[in-house]
Amino acid sequence: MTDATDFLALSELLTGETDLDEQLAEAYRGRLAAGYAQDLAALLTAYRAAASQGNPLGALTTAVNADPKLARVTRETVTVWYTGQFTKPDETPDAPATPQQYQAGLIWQVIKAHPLATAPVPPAASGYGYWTQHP
Amino acid sequence: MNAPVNAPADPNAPFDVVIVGAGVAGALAACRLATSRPGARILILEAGNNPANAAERAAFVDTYQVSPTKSVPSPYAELPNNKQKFAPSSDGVPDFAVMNQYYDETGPDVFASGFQRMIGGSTWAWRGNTPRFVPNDFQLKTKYGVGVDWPFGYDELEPYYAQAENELGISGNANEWVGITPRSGDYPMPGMAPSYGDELVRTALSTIKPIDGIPVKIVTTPQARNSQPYRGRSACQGNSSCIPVCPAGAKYDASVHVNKARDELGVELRTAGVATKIVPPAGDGQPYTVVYRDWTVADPAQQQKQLTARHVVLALNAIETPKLWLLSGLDNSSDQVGRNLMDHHSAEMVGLFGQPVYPFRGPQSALGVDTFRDGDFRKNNGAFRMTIGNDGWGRSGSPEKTLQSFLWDDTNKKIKLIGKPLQQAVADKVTRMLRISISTEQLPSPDNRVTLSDKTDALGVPHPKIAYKLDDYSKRALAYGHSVSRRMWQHLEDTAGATRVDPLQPTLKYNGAGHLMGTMRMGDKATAVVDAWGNSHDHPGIWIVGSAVFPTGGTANPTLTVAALTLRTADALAAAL
Repeated sequence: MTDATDFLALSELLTGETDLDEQLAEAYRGRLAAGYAQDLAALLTAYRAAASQGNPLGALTTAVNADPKLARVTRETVTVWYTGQFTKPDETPDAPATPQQYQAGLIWQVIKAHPLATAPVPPAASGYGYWTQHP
Repeated sequence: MNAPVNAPADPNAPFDVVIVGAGVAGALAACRLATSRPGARILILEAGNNPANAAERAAFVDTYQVSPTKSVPSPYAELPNNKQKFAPSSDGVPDFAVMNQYYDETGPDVFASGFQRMIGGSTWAWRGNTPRFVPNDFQLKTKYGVGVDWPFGYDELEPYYAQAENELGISGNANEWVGITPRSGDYPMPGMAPSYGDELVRTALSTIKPIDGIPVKIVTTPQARNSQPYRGRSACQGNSSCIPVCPAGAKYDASVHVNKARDELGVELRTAGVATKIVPPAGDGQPYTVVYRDWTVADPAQQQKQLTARHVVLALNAIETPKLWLLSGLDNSSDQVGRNLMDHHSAEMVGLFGQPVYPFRGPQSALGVDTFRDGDFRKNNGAFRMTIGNDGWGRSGSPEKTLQSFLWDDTNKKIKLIGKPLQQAVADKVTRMLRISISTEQLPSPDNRVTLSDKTDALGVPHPKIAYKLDDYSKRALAYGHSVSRRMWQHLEDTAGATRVDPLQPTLKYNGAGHLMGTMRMGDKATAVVDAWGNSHDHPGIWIVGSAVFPTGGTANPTLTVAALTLRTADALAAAL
């Protein structure tokens, strides 16, 4: 297994999604590694250990919460998938690299909305008045 | 189509009218004047230099989506007048340290509203709410013994309101406004469709008893947002980003009238020109001179240019208009230039509705309560408009903040939830987030004032210096608005399972509404800067349009009243040409 495939699998465990985009995963892995290189490598190691456990999510949570640095990079990994953005070690924001990264934020589908300034398009309910209906 | 059709035989002849500022007031004035006086030579001078086309709109959306803050000015931050500070916009961030990037604020309270300097002005970033003022907004002194009266009443402005609604393209339901704002005709298109969640809230509030004798009547907020295609612009597509940018162009912005003036009516548009001085005529029959700096010229020594005009219309805004006036050293016999700065102070009360309302789908708001905009209580405290939001907790908390609250234990630096449980927690909370907001009335005070700062921008032009203090009448408006909001939320708690209501006590904290008003007020010569037509008392060739001329701030978002007043002033100016 490579870091790329493991990061994708880790991301799916962290987000609860099953079909995350590989290219997006590579872009996020690169952005996270720019500020959290060592911590990200350690997180992947922790993931590989947890993945073989009976309850990978629980095992991973326990493992990362044993080390504040691991917990932090876990937080930023989840955050970038949800919002396209995360906070760098110096507490400044790492903004979405492209509008597409912002639009790919999982938070919007989780709340049954759409990325702000990107209205839904067919086949989703869309056009004037779509908002009058239950999503 | 872009060549001026009204080119004179002598290119150095004075313009009939130079309009400074290409926002909603300046653009509407240009269209009205050019339509009623087709032969007139009219020029709009604008500090910004943005193209007002579909490609630029798409670029604003991209800039917004990659912005780390998603702040109101974020789509426009890359414009060179902002980025290189040739003609900076203010940011509207209610924080001294941040706001001081443009405003030089001396307090004691924060003036928390900003604006955009660009073609189309702040209408790029507005929500588009366009209720009319109520009749008693024009006669506060006579009816309630506070503030001042306007020099005319609602009935005088009513025909212009109707025309302005057609120009901007307002969606609204006339039958809902009976008894609040009398109307001579219908809106040009039906009111915006409320969201799924709006209807749940409306149903829940339909059983509430009157509060202090005032019915809590829910109305569809009139909006400059198309509910159907209108004059070449599409119906709203529900991008849910009205503030700070509409990707569809379904929300009116003044680029509509700037483009119309330039492309169809022969008005010349000169951009990247920052007006620095208005010089009165040297003698009888001589024109006014408008001095400006062209920031596209690299050599500062070559930047200064000038225009001459028989009439000058100042259409900047309530901060930049008095700034330019003071910078020019124009006469100020009433001593009111720059004084009486006003805003509407807004506050939110948030909570969780008992079932999902699914915010962030469709316009950021469609419904409101307009029955607390008038009443005998105005003898004691300001009135207010209420908004039922369709954008979660609005400025009180974003979905991203909610995500962090479930993901991260900041005290112990540990992960709280991940995986599906995190999704479920976020979904359960965010989909039930609701805000009820107030936007309160403020009285004019001569001490709330714009003057010139020692700080200067990249062109050496002074920043505005702002002194600002909330009077007790305005604070009581915030307190009363809290009280009414609290009782509405109590009803939602009692009948609709609402929880987590906040704040439970009035805090008197406020946000700016972006409603800059009052610094060039309208009235008689002794106490006001312009007459009832917007014509300067001291300089008969200068006219002022925009909310700077408002004697009082009223109880509604100002833009529709700005538009109506502008059409009225343009008619008076056309008659004087």
